[in-house]
Amino acid sequence: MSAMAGPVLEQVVRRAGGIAARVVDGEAVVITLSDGQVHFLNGTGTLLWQRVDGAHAVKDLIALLAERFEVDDEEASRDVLEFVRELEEKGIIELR
Amino acid sequence: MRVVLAGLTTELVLEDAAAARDAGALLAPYAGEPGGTPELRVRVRSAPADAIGATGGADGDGDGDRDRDRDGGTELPLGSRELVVREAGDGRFHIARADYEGVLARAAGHAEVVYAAGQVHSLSSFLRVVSSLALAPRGGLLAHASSVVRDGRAYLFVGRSGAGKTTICRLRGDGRVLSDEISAVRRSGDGFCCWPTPFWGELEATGEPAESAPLARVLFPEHAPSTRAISLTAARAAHRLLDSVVHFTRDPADVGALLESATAIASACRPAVLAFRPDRSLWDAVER
Repeated sequence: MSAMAGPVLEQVVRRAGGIAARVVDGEAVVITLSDGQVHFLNGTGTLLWQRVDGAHAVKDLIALLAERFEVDDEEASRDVLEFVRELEEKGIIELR
Repeated sequence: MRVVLAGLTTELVLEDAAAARDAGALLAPYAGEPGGTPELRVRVRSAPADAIGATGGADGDGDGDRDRDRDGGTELPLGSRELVVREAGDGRFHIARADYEGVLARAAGHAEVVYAAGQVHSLSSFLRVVSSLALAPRGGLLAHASSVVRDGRAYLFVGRSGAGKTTICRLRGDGRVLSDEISAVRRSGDGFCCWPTPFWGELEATGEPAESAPLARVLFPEHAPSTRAISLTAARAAHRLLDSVVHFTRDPADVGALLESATAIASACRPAVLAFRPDRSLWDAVER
């Protein structure tokens, strides 16, 4: 079963083991070691990325986005779930 | 023979006449000052082409233990399908292609190779892998990039085939080309220096003594109807630079070091997309 199928909002988000990452001037560059691919995160993605620390849940990311950009929970939830799904698929983050 | 190989002081021990001839043809413009301790020592031996792989190879320390690491490490077919760089897990890398076989003991700064006599490009390929692996932990990298020095400042033009790297070199005017294909960048004090390499593409190496220069700017050329430089954020530039880095390992420490170097270079060296029309007016946008 996909991690996304569970109670995803409560799940804690953490960085996957096989990556190298660096934030420079508010934007992140991430390399997945398994395939050598280089990924770029824009400012919003990097804001979320800095809370992907094994201590925050998906719902915390949604709250952060809603507060920082003054958008409603529905829009923030949509954006964060898309972010989480994409990075999980690429092997950059893990949900627990 | 003492050379500066992609910014690395290197002592080549040439064990036979063919090795001396081939190394001289490849590396004469990169002669370094004698004295001091080199960062790399490379023993070079030639053999008939059909004997490569059956010669006993090179084991890095001359004690005949080349089979010891056969069970360890990870085989990584990279770039050319024939080239295999295998990490032995103890800082040693076995580097093999149909026309050469060698090893790098990185911590010791020692490499050995046996290659097909007379095949300068075989020796060049081995040295490209070795210099890439040796630069990573030293705050440097090799990139698919041309590099041109004008008024004592180096400009790096990063991109894959067709991006315009060689075209820009041909338009160098009174500038000096460090390489038209694979350039070396290495940390130097608070900044970075761009170093000449013997790894060239369409243009022939000039044969003139080539000197390093402080890296002033990193540019990503794209053909366009008119010329202008479009600034990039450091992360976007690092992303693009990393896509063009020559590397042969997925070791986390190495990848982390390359990531750190790329982001630092991108932060320090005014990165931009260079949309350019191929005439010498491009230097106005580059040097502005």
